[in-house]
Amino acid sequence: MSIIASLLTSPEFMPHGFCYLWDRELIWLHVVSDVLIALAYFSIPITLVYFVRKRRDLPFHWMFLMFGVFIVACGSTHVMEVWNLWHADYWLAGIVKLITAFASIITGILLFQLVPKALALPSPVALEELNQNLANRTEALGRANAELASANAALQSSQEQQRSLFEAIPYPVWEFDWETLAIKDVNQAAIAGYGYSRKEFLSLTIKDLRPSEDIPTLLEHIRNSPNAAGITGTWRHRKKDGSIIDVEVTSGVVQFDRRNTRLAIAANITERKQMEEALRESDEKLRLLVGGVQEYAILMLDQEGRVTTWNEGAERIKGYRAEEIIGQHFSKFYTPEAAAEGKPAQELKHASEQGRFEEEGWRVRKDGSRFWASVVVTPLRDKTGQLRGYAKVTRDISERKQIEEQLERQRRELERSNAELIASNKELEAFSYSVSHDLRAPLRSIDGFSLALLEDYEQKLDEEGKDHLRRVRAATQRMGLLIDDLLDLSRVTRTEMKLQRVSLSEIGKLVTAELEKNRAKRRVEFKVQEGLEANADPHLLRIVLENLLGNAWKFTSKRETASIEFAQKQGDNGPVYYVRDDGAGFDSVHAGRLFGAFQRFHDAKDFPGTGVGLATVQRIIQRHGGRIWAESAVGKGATFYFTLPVAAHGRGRES
Amino acid sequence: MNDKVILLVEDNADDEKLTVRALQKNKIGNEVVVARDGAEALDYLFGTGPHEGNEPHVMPQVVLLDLKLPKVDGLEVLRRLRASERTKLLPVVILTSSNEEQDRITGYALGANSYVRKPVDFNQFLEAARQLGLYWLILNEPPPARRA
Repeated sequence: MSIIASLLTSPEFMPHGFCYLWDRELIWLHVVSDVLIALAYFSIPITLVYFVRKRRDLPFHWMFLMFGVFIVACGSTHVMEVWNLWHADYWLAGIVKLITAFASIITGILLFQLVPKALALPSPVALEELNQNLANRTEALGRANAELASANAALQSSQEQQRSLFEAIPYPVWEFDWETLAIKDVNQAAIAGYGYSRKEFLSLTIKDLRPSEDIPTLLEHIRNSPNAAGITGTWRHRKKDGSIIDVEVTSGVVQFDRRNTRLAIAANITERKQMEEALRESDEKLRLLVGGVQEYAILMLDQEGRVTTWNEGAERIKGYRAEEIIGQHFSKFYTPEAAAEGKPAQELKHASEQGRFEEEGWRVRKDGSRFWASVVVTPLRDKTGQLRGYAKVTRDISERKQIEEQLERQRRELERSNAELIASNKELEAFSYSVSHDLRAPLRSIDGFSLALLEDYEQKLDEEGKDHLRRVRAATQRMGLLIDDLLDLSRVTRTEMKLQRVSLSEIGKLVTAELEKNRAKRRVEFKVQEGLEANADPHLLRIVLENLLGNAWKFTSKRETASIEFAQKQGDNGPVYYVRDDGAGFDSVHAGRLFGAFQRFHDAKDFPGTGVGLATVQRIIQRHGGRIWAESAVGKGATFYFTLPVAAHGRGRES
Repeated sequence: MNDKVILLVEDNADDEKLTVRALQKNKIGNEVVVARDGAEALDYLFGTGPHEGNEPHVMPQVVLLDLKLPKVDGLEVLRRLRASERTKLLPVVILTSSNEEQDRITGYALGANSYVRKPVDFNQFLEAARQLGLYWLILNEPPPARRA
């Protein structure tokens, strides 16, 4: 308590100024110096603190702080000095000095400890040197880096090149481990060719590329050729989808980094194999063909005309066996006259210039006999267009020639008989013409004068006489009808048919209308089906219907009512037309004679008629290429059927 | 009535007789001139040959012309008749037994006025003659007579 008190108050002591005798200059000297010192001392720590704060990374920064403290302490002693000039607080001053002493000692000790470390700190020069070294080294490193980078790049590009080479190989290539057979690498072609993805491929072994039955062979092959390189073999491979292809595999040994690997290149020869097979087959076929042909002599000649190949047909036709003729000149096959004229050589020349030589001519067999042959010679050229020889095909056409001659003779015959037919047709026309005139005239006389007799000599004739004359007249009239009908029949045969689409219904209706008009004494029901059509001559068809419907009319005349029908029904090959009546009918036993000329089944008294009508109808139907037939029973009426083929038949002209 | 002349050109004696008889029976009482063949017919009409200088004053009312005639046949007669001014308009009826279509065509083509087929049946023949007579001599107006 007392110390503190005395510290604070020390009146017994004299301030320092007294020591200086209060020499103003001296005091000021000390004051100024101490203040300056103190200022300086105080400023330093400030600087130091500032410095430290600025450079937080400073090593030993605590040292600096220590220094700061020490200097502050020092400064404060000088401040005390000045204080002590006027105030004798020597105890305070002393304490301050003590603190300063402590600080200094500690600082000194610490500094002392620090010296070696500080010494260790390189000097600026050393640092500079170090820096420089570092700079150099860095530069060197930089260069080395650059070199490395470019070496890397070169390596990279070379690797890429290798890779693209590998990938670019158009054949599937894979690298596989020789021991495990695992596939290590594949190229694009392999991926494309086998269907596996790269990843899938790299999980396979080469065994997986084979069909299972081939694997033992593969393993054996591997066992037997451990170090062989560059060997090629034909194998079968299996693609991902299971399909099998034929491949030619070349394998090589890869030396790299002590790894035991092989490289395999697989060329897909499936197509090639197929082509080879096809070629073999076609070769075989050709041989069979040429060999087996018996009808034609197929042989090859060399450029000079000597026989180089021979076939069975040649042996058969010409008589020589292969061994006796090969090597001989083909002029042997010619007649002596032809050979003398140089025909063989000319023909070869012609063939090579025109591309082909063809003719029919005499040739000679081995036994000297001649035969008429058809010969074709064609030149054979190779790909460059060079003439390599000739191909000759000969056919023995003696038989054909005979047939041709026969045909010619037959043709002339035919022409002749045609001409005869035309002539006879003309005669027939003239005949018909004269028939229509000359046959009729006497008939008229007979009839006329008979009538004259009847009229002029009526008184003089008895009943018997008159009867005779009446019969004479009836006979002549009948004959007239017959002549008319016969003329019709002949005309029907002669005239040209003009085929066209006709409506049978229309014709039928016209004919029935005529019949009704002419003899409408009883009730007859006509039924004509609508829409009946055919390809026919309208005029002739009219005659047919006139006859058939007229007959139906005639043979229903004994009944009070009658029904006559004209219609069609479906037959096997097309429509069948028919005319049906419910009249007298006829016994179908006689049906065969129905269409013969002059055939009548009924008495003329009952049903008039000449018997030519149906013959005419039949002729017309036949000319159209159709058929006509009838069905009937006595008392039950009759049905006449006929067909008219759809296609144009007969000698008609389509109009 | 008696002026009217019918020229019948017919070579068949029987037919001729019958035709005349038919015409007479029907009281077509005219003169019937008969020519036995084509030449005779032409001679009569043109006043040539045996009829030299003896041309008819009056042309026939109608000529009944058969086709099949000796010397000059019916169609040729027709042709010549039609070729001459004098006989161009003369009514000609072809009366023949032929039913040949060709004859009919040619007949009409050459200018025949009518074509009648001689029926075989004499009754019909009579009837035909009657009708012919009635028509051509009574009903029909002949061309005006030309007095050459």
